[in-house]
Amino acid sequence: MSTLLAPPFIYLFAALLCPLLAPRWRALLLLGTPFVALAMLLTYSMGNHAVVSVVGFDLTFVRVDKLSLIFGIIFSIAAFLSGLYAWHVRDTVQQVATLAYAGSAIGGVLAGDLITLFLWWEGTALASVFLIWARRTPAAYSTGMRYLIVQVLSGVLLLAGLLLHYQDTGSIAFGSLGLVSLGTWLIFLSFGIKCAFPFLHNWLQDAYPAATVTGTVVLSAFTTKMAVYALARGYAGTEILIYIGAAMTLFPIFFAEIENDLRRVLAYSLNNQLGFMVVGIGIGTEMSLNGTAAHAFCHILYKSLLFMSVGAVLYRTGTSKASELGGLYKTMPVTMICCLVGAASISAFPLFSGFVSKSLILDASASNGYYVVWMALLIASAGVMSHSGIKIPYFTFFAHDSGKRPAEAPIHMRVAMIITAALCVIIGVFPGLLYSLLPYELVDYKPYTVDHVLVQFQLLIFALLAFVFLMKTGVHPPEVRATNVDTDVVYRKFIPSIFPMISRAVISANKGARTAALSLLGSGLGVVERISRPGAPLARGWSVASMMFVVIVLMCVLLLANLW
Amino acid sequence: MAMTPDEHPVVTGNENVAPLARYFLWVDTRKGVQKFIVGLLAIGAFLFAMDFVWHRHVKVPGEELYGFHAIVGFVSFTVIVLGAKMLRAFIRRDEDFYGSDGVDSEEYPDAGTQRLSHEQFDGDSIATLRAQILGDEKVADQTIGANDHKGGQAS
Repeated sequence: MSTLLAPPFIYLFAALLCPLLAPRWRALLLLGTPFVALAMLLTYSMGNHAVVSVVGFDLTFVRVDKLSLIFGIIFSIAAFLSGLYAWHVRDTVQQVATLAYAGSAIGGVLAGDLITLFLWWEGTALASVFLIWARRTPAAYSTGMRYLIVQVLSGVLLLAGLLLHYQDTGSIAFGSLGLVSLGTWLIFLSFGIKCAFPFLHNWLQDAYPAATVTGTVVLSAFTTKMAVYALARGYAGTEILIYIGAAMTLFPIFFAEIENDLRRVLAYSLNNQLGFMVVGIGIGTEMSLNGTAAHAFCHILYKSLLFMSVGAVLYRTGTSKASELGGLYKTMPVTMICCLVGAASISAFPLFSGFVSKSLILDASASNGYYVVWMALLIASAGVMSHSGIKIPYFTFFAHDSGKRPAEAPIHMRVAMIITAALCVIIGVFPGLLYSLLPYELVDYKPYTVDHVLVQFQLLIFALLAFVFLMKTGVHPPEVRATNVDTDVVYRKFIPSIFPMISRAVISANKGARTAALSLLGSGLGVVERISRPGAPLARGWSVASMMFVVIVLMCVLLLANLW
Repeated sequence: MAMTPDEHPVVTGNENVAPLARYFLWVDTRKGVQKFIVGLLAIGAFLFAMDFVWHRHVKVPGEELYGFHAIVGFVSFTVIVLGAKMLRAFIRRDEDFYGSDGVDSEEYPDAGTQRLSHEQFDGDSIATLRAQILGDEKVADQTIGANDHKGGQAS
């Protein structure tokens, strides 16, 4: 099959074609492209396709195996759903960016070698930043710049890592890498940035709330899950990932709990969900990797759904700040119900999608003896309930009445949300459909046992009771307008604030050095002047005898010096 | 679920709410919330009691403790909320802390949104979407908002 018909190129062609079309056809292109590309993807047999030889390297643009296939499928579904959600958008920039971005992400998961991966890796960075800039405000411009710098940094690290790796091994194959050399460490770091590891995470919470209503929905699906895929491919079973992942599940929940911008709450929550997937990769058994793939699949759906519902509220009210919202259920009931389905799915209520995927990872951690990690994941599950399960729907649609009576979301948004919500429920009720797509065979695993369902309900219902208790006693923190600083304060405030100090120090050191050099030169010249002016020793007439005497003394000194 | 200290007037049903929302109006009544909480407590009690009836198969030491997951759920939720409250004392800043550099201090631009109130909205249906997709201009313009970006136009 022709290389140019590979799924990522179909998206790129659509992106090139897009600006030439009339508005309605552009929107239709966004809906149609994922279908065509997915159909193309499903026609491939397992193995490598679309191999192009460039300067002696075989670049594999399509590698189909069960791991890349499940990510390719869910990325296609996400591209379609976000296209439907963005049906009203007539902004060519966003439409082209969406197509190019989705194509790059799918290219990334289908890449069979590190060079191809690098190309698409940078492709996602370049395409996605336009979804932030499309907001067209000064703040969005600055935020987009910060986002781009971090994303490109990740790409540069990947390139450096792959060059070192190639030097070490002579291979550009993208298979299991492991942390064995400087090269593989750099690649790991590059993946870690896109996967929002702790301390490398803040680009996510900074950028996603700054994108357009529809842009955030698109952003939430691709970049981070492509990184999850890359980690699963290259670093499955790397133990350090278990602890990185466990930390990722825990720390964002505290930030999410007090964040006012609901889209940023969801960004923190996204970070926490990535943690579950990273733990699964770190454990590295077939079951845990299945858990990671399944969780990525479900997560893309329910996270899109939550971003869609908050986006619909933003679309109708102009704000996504919890302090400004409340009581919207009265006029946006469909959005509210879809949001509740998303909340139930991410909280992993039985019969919703999160339950059938998260339990695989929890089970794998318990079965492999990582009890502390298991406990961390359990606590994090209660945390998910707190910010995504309760906070998002409660403070948007219920809580104290904001007096806002916005219209229901437009029909295309409602349809997109209902389809996504339906998928969440279908996966929850018929987990077999999802399990059949998983990279490894799932031997004899049943999510719906009395044990599983019972303990999950116990955890969630008592978390809900804790919420009721904290609200009743007034302990629960109120939603207030504020900015919460995170690690970004280092590069947004601290480093810029020490710049003037550093430049002042450099200027004064420079000035001091110049003065010292000049005064040294001045005094040197003074000495020369003093010994060479008329009547001074150098300007005096000397007799030949005394000259000879000086020469003899010098030669004697030289002779003596030669003795040693 | 009006559990915030400021209590709301009981909804009389005269207000113009969406038809589907009528099934949820109980959340704004004191009685409704009370019923909800009582129901939740009953479910909680039932789930806790199940531990004494049903023998769970456990994988992690300590998990066999009666009500282990219920306790973990309740305690960790509380600790997270209290921890977050403490964290807020350290990391909370004004909304314009980052100035024009951050989106917190700016309003979302009008472009890209269609701010309609419930009264202004005459409803759309799947037929509207169908008309839009098929390019039936008369019906189609209904929900394509006037505020949307038109091909790269700056706001």
